[in-house]
Amino acid sequence: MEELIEKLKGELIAELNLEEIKPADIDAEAPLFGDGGLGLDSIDALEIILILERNYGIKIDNPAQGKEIFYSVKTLAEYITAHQK
Amino acid sequence: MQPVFIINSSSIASDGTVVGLTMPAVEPDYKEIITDATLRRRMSRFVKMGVACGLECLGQTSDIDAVITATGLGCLSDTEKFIESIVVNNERLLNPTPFIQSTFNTVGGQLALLKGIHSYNVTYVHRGLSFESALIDAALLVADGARNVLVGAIDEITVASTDVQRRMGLLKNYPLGEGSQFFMLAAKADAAPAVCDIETHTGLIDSEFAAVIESFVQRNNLRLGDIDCVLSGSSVAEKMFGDKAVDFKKQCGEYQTATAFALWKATRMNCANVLIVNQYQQINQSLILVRR
Repeated sequence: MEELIEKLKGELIAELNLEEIKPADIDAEAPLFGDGGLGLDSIDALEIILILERNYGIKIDNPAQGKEIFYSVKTLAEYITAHQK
Repeated sequence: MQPVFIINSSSIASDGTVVGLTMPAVEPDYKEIITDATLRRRMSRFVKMGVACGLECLGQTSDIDAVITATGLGCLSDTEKFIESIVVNNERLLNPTPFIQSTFNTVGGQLALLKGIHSYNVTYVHRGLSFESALIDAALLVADGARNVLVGAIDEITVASTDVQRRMGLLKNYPLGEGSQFFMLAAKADAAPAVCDIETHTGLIDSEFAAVIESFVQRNNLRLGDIDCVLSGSSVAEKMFGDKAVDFKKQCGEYQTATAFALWKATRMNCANVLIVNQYQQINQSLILVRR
């Protein structure tokens, strides 16, 4: 899980062009969206959906679950671990 | 044409250094100009260059009645990224950011959003006459009563466009250039340079262009000898004006909106009558008269 979390941090930094942020700056349990975390927005959510589909072959079947899955890097990693074939 | 005064201007341009087939612009530290990191991280180099230059020109000026931008090829790097993504991902799963940012009017839109300017906002993409078209629109708006009009141009070099233009034989006379210049125009100003006339043509041969230059100068009640300096991007002007002609493309390179660089140079010259004469790839011809 730790390895996957670190990989995800790198992918988020690269794909979302989070200049000035290093993997160590990202708290795996902090919220990705809104205040108090990375401050991502709805366009970033679309980019994360693409990371899941392209890099892990995972499609989110129930959009209502999005808020839970995308809460933090840790929740993303847990979802990938549970759903990757 | 009613003269329009240039009350402020800004530029991001090459310092004349040639790198391979290009003359890249010397860029500022964008973090200091575009302070919102969230906004900045989505901006390509083209957008950052245009927005930073536009913000510098806007300064503290209020009552902006129009934002008019010009570009020959638009946000090329984002367009290339988006097209490549279409091919690589087999037309599926396309990233939204390069698509959103690859539209030609991104710079004008971002400037309006950043400064809360809810007025006329138009982008001209007219090949080698893009900046001239924007300038004509701005002059018409000022003549129609607009208070302050921001007009500017942006074009960028990319590796792919350099290669394509080299293969098309478009880089024979000058390296490929890039840059951004913005101007704040108003109907009245003390001791500011003014754009007094603009004329554009497409497809003229050299003898026709020479006749056009002569009649343009006469129309402004001047003789050829009254022109103090010619900022030239045309061999026709160099033959007509000799030593008075300064080849501005040796400083900025060749690109569709290079005349914005020439106009910025003109605003810094202490001459009564400056004529900008340009030919873009023997396709588009333009004349701009700047007087003090």
